[in-house]
Amino acid sequence: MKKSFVVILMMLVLATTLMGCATSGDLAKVQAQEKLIDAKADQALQDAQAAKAAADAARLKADAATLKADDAASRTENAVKMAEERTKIADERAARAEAAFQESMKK
Amino acid sequence: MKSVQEKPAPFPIHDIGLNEFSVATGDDVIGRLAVISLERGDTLPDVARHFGLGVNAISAANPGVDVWVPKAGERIMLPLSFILPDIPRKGIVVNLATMRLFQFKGDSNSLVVSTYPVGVGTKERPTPTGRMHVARKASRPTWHVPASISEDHRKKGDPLPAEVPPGPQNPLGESALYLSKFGYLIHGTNKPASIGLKATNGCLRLYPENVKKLYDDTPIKTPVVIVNQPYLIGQRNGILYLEAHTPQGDSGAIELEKTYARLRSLEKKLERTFDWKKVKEVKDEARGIPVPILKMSQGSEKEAAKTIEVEHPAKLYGRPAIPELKLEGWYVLAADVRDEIEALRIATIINHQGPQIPARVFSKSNGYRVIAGPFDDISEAKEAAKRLKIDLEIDGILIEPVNYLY
Repeated sequence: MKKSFVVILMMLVLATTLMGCATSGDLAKVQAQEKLIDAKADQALQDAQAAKAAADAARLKADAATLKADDAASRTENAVKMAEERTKIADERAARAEAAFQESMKK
Repeated sequence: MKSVQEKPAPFPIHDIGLNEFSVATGDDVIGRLAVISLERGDTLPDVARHFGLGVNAISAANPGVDVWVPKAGERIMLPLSFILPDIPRKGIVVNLATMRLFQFKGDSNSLVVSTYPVGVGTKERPTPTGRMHVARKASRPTWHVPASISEDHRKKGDPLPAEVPPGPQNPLGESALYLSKFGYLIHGTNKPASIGLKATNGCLRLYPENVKKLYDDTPIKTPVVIVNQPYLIGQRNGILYLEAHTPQGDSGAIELEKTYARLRSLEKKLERTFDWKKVKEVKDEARGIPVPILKMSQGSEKEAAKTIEVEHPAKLYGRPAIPELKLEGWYVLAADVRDEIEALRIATIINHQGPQIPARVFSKSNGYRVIAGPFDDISEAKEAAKRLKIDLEIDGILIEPVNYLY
């Protein structure tokens, strides 16, 4: 009686251990897949950014020239304003996303 | 001895009525209010669908709760109690203001009502009010694209064929009831997240699971009355209730005046003084919930105040499933943002498109990416990117399979 109880207990422990392994393996697999796909996303993003870079470079140059012309005080003032703007932009983005969703629900 | 007050166990979901109710003679209010604790990953549209509510109703009942990324553990109200529209209880009645359809069966001695949330017409193309009837029915209908919609799509760079056969692209869904008012239908949808929104061209849309039941239960020639009643007054168990919704279009002032006139008349008839401050509060909040405003008889307070807590289901019915990642799949990078909430919002909105576009959030050290997919081939990925652009103004970037060989 005692012997069969020990055998059943051992089988249960073995089954639980194997189940644990399968779960960890699955997680590792998903994480590995995410990593690989994300690396591909990096590459795709870089390609898209490179294509945009030429156009942006000219604009950045012009922006840099403008910034240089600004004095330090007005730049600080701008930084404060920009922080406020960022909060406003986050709210506006959420509202825009909702509006776009509602529009997308039409036929 | 320490006294411990135990919180009552939540109701199992099957114990609360969602769609079908008996109406006791003289009663105008059906169902009961409930609350539920949200879990991580829940969205209000998913919870709404599971409990047979529209997104308008769940949002109005829970002001301030993020529709797409609510906090886990947040307790929200399920507005599962409704005041019946002020109209004879026969056939199908649709209240545009509450975005709810009522189907009456039986007679005044044993009246049963089934109720479903609906999507209604936009401001530009509103659903018409009035009396009509079900002229014909069709299972797996073909959508004959109206000229106005065809033109809208052409302008967006998304031309439609003259006819859309049954299937996932068909916005009529699996069943349709054609109304006697030409061009207007009560139908299913391939965009379940639109139930409770003003998103149709005048038709009435139902969740797929609801339209099937309505279709089976509705004979041809069933009368259909469409009304617009944002303010509803009704009684149950000796309690008088007021339910207020945000009015549609510019009907608010007229409807409000009618409601105040009715309340004044009731005040006179009952020889009681109403709490007008409370009435104004209910009207201003417009939460779409029947609120007790007057106790008409003794011993009914307990019944009026009872809101039940329901347990969270293991799986929310109809929640979009996201397929597993696969290395051989194509993907679309839909967004690259710093804020996690923003990324989650974008991903859930993409997931709730109709037909669904699967999307998930990848966490990075300096931000979050929203990746749509997997798609079986480049054409499917391109089609998804096109839909993201046209429908959501998202500029997606195609991601080729991990081991893609040129």
